[in-house]
Amino acid sequence: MKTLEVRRVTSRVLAGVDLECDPGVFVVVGGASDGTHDLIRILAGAESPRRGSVTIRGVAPFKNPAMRRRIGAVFTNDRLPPASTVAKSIAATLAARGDSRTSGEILGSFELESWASRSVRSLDDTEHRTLALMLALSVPSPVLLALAEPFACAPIISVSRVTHAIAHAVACDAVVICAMAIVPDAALLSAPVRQLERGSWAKTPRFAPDDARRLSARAVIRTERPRELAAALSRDPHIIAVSFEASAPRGEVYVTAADSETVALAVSRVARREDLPIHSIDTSWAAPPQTRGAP
Amino acid sequence: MWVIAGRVAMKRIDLRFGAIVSLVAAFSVLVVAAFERATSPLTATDNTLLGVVFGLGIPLCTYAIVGRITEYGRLLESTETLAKYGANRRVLALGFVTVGTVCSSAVGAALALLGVVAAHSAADSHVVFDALTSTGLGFLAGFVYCAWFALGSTFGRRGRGRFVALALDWAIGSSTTAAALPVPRGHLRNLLGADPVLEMTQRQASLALILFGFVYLLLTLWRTPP
Repeated sequence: MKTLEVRRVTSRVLAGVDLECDPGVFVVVGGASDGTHDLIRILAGAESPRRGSVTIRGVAPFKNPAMRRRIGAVFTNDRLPPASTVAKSIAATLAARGDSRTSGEILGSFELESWASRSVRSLDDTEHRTLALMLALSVPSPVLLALAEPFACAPIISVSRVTHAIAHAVACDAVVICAMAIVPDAALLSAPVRQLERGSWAKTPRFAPDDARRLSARAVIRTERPRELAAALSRDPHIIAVSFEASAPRGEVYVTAADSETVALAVSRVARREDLPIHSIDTSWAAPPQTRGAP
Repeated sequence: MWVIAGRVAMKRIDLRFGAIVSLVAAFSVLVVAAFERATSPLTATDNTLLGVVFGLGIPLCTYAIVGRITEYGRLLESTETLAKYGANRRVLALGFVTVGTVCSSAVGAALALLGVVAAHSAADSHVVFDALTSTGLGFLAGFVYCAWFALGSTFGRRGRGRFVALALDWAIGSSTTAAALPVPRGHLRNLLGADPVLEMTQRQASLALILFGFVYLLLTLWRTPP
């Protein structure tokens, strides 16, 4: 049995979509009118499919609150529950999730402490989505992340922060489904891509899945201190994603950035600053056998 | 979670909205009561209660309150902001309906009291008894209408069943046939002295209202998935 099983799901837009996923990242490209947002809502248990079924580890999320507590989801029109302040609104969502952390801790981990005292009414759509993304990425041990346009809040929650959290979720055996309208965004995740077109999987996608990968450069760096290098690189604003494998003969760090020059410059800058030894940089790397999120 | 749902419902109703609805309803009751007292002093209290208070004011105020709590959509959709994070939708719905009941019962009681006080004549010796009875009845009407509209909110796109519930209450609630049995209006009219539904006594009508209120509430929760 697969972790996520979607069988002949129909909705206002979707027309009998099937999908099976094991833990890992999976990108769905398409617009709202193609059904990507319906798919995300149905996967997250916010909406029941008209026909068909969605199960995560054998459980239907729509009818199971306990399962929904382990799903992090962002919708396009996400709104926080009404409350006088952002902190109180987030506290309500944490209580719903059974999460013992405080809203201050969650906001602090995304450097959004200054928002705590703001009125929920003063938030614009992007800020609502940003906080919803923050809540989705902070699910303690997720089984599913269902994210609509996860990079849309990039000025506030950076792309590398999102990709980091996604890598961490995958390391926790979660399935991560990202719905995106444009291919370059999908490329940032270096994950398998499928295209939804008018409610069905496109038989002839407008792009090959490998096209997405070519839009970003990736490299594997061999070092004796992979954890420290990965941690330092994760703080670099030019790095899109970073993960590491400590059990390799000589620890390996996997880095994704806009192009190979950016990777090289960031690695040399970080290595010099942190005094970390670098043995090699290999830009011919295709995909890590098993990656683990950086701390 | 029930308490948090209640807080969310309170925020949705909003103090300004509550004040506007209450003031408009109170002003309407005062105007109609003054008119009734001027035109037919002997039946002014009955006409005011049967017409503007229980016929229009309480149903419309409750309709507005339930609409506001459900964000003018389906009850299921209105629970999404918290259900998405793992809250049980039935518990949320119960919290929403509880707050709606408290608000609409308070408005119902206040409007009924205002109707009696504004419409009674100086020579009326039963004003205190009428005021107490009508206030209790207004409280009960608020509860039953809230449960009735909450049940309506579980049907149709964007909760349009709520409007159907209001229309049904107006269309068939004034009759005395079996069709009027499941809607609140017929029993409330019976308690106010109008013709009873299926020859029911006032005691039976009171019990029917309480029973139907809880049945509507249970059906609402049953139709809301966890």
